[in-house]
Amino acid sequence: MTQPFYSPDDVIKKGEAIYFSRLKDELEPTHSGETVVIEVDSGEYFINKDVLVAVNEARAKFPDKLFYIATIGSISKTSTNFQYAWNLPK
Amino acid sequence: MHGTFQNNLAFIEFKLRGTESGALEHTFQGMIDTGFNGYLQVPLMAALPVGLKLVGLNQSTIANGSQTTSLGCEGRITICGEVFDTFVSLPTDGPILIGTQLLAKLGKDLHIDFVKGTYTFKDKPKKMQP
Repeated sequence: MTQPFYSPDDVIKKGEAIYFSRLKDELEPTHSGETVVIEVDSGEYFINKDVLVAVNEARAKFPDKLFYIATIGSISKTSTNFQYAWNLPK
Repeated sequence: MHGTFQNNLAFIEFKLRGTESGALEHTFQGMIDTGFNGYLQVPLMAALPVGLKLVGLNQSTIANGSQTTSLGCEGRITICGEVFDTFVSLPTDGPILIGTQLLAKLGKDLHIDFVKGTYTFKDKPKKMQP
């Protein structure tokens, strides 16, 4: 099956949408400071104190995907877009 | 493993490469940053030649309170004679930082002498068998 191509902006926007709509209230009281790795198509997510462990769990199930990775509780607002953050020409 | 300070900052040499076979290995000097709770941060342009594997987009809040987005990669580090896989954040610029998750995975005691301006990594003492 062909994987859809996502730009960095796509991954961030989809990941943020999942985090803020579904996960923030659920995870922040009990998992603050841990890493969440989100597969942005299915919405499936992986949590661990060790970012590398969470990433490897995600890659074991979704080997060819790019993930949205964030520290639970440290993301307080939706980001500006990736191009702006990296000072790339729009 | 001993090191010294530069301008009151502790630096250590390490080697980094991608996890795929045939990846090139480069040597870097990184600053030990106990305020950075991640693994390793290497600016994008410095990291590109070593062929790290891109795994995602990493959003985090840095010391000044601002929120940043960087590429998140996996690589293999050689540091203090140990070799292991590491997560690497690739911001557009900034210093090379060695964070506390990487120090924890290294599994050694870190002794810093701020008076002499030196630091030492020591193997943890083995527990005595009863």
